[in-house]
Amino acid sequence: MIRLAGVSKLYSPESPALADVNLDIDRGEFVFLNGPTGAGKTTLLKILFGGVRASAGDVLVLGRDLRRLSSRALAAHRRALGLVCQEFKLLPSMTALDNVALAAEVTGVSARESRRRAAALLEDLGLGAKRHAKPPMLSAGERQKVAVARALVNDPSLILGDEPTENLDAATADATMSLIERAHERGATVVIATHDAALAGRSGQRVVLLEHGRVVEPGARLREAAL
Amino acid sequence: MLTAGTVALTLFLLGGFLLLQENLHGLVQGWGSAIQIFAYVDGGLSAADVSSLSTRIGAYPEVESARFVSQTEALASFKKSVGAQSGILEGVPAEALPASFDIALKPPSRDPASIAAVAQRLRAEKGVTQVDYAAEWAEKLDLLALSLAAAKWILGGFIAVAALFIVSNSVKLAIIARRDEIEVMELAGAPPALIRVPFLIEGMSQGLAGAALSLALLAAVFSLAVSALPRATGIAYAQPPHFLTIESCAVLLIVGTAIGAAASLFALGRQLGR
Ligand SMILES: Nc1ncnc2c1ncn2[C@@H]1O[C@H](COP(=O)(O)OP(=O)(O)OP(=O)(O)O)[C@@H](O)[C@H]1O
Ligand SMILES: [Mg+2]
Repeated sequence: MIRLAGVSKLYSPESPALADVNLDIDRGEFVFLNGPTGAGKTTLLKILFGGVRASAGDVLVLGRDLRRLSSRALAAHRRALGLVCQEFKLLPSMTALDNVALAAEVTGVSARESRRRAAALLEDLGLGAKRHAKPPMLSAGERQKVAVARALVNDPSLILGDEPTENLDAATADATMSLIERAHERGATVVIATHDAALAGRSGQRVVLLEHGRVVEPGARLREAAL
Repeated sequence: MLTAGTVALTLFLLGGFLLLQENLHGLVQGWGSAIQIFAYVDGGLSAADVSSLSTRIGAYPEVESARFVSQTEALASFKKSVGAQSGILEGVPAEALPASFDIALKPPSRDPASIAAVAQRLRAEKGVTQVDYAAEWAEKLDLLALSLAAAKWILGGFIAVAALFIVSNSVKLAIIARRDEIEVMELAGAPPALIRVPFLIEGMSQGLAGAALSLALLAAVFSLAVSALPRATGIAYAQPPHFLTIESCAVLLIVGTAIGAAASLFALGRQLGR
């Protein structure tokens, strides 16, 4: 599903953001990327969705070699992903519904079907009444839910989340995580970056520990080990 | 609007030159009917020699008419042109002026090259002593046609580059204005074409609008000029000038659209190219 071998990323020559990262994640795994601020978690996720290119090493995600991908193939790769960015990246001029529907529409789904799916997801998240509100009118937690709904609207086989519960109160964070867990139960592979060790350790999932751009603890598949 | 305006200016100039070029031939033919070739002949030619020479010259494919002017006629018309003072020419012998053929060429041959060629052949005719024609005038017209053609490409080229620059700048601004939307679409995996085509269409429609605007301007200026020119110059048209042909109009519209497309592609490459 995901295989990184000897991956490094240098934004500047002096200090690598990632250095010689080796990491395998199997289909259907639920993995937390944990580590202090600046450890390289966001950079690692960006390499997985093609937001940046690795400086060295092999990057295989969903059977694609991300180090050499045309812009068209990269777009196809992203259509198979569900992405929750650290800064939601919602369009302020569009309603919550349209923000979610847009992600379906660009994959070639009809406008009507996209809106139907988006409305159903927002309803699920308890945002049905707010679906016509624009992001600036929503609370941070509501915006977070819209961003998660958008990541799930295409039923992705791989979900990448960057601090998807940062700045949320415990209850909203729990609700958001359980949405992602539901997608995981339907078969999606999940990778969540967080500096919050408590969140990472919460449900006994595999935790990959990053420090200074290196994997210091690749993590055991705890659930499988427990079985 | 500014963008469509610069495309319009570009194509207005290009179209204006095309219009001049398309009509120059007609104008030259009109003014050029004044171009005549005078072939002076030996005074000792017999009437039979003159008539066979006349037949030969009349058979040149370029020649429309060849009128023989005898020495007597030449003197008579000279006296007439001198007018009141013709008395001073009393007693001048009829042989004082040479006889000649006044030759007019057919419209397609009223260009400097054909005139020179005909003159060359006339000089070789037996009995022809000298050949005269308004060489300078013909060559000037030719030069005018050449410089029109050159100016069209040089000026047109400069302004096309300017139009390209301005259209691509406006597309660039449109792209920047929608940066966030583009980023979100890219992250969601929108195919590159889906993101680019709207900007391409925007640039192309600006180019097309500019071209249409330039045609409207040209048509207005043209109809004004056509009625004003004869009054201003006193020269009547040999054949009335015509507006650009359908093909030329189509070329202008296509060139405008192409400038828009090229400018968009350039801006897209600069802004979104990876
Ligand atoms: N675009 C960039 N240009 C230069 N350096 C960068 C860039 N992005 C990240 N870095 C550097 O790379 C290192 C890793 O950054 P990264 O964002 O991956 O950390 P992180 O683990 O996500 O941190 P956080 O928990 O604060 O989000 C940092 O030292 C950061 O300064
Ligand atoms: Mg980060």
